[in-house]
Amino acid sequence: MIRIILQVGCTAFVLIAAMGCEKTSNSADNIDLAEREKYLLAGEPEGAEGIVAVRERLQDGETYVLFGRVGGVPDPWSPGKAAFVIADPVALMEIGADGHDCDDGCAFCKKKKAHPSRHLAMVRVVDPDGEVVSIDARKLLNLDVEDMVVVRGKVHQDKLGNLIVHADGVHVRR
Amino acid sequence: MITRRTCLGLIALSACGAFSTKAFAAQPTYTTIIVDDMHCGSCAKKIAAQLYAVPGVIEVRADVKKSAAYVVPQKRKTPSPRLMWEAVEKAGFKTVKMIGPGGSFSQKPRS
Repeated sequence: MIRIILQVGCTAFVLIAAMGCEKTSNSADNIDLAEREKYLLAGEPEGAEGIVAVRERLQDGETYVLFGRVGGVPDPWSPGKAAFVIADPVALMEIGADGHDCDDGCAFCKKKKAHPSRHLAMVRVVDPDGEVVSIDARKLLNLDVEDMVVVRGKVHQDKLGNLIVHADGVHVRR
Repeated sequence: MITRRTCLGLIALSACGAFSTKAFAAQPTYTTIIVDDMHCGSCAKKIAAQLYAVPGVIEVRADVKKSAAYVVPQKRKTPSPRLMWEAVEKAGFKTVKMIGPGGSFSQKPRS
């Protein structure tokens, strides 16, 4: 009887201790942690701006710090490469009881309709030679969809108007 | 020697641990910012854009009817109340009150 009680108690204790466990960097599966440390910033770079804000004042090739949420498209990953799509979380916000009608000549809504991907940016983590790192971003940076990231890098706009960030550092707000 | 009383005590302790963990998790960790006349959804998004720029902010929600923004922080981090207050100012709005893990404020915090 006492043994059973002890076993139950110990099991309960172990389960409770396990409740606090979070995603750890050990989920990397053979990823070279030294590689991760090159690109994953422990501290957040200063001066983060939204994707839409950067787009509005963009000077092609300049360095910016952008915040964004991984996702915005059905599959934001580039398998085998340290590249992923982020979305401006402000553009994705649902406002409670805003009573906003997009047919009332709202400038914000007009801009959004004119360029559906204006709240998106493609992030490419590059090495010092400017080449995209050939490790999947999910492994390199321990990233997941919906993670909020702050990326630092040179920003370009391609011919289609898409924003590309050649990032030398990524910080994950977790 | 482990007695029956000791075992029951250990089990009760484990159960208390589980309960207190749940209770702790139930306490709100977000900051509520009451804004003076948020006015519309576009205004809410202007405020949110500045709040998202504050280090440690994971999510911002807004309710125009209540003229309130809700800031969800990173785990085990509290975004600077002063920076959040200033973020609302940068968006062109005035904070009436701010309540959260960092404290309650009706004027600009010091840190």
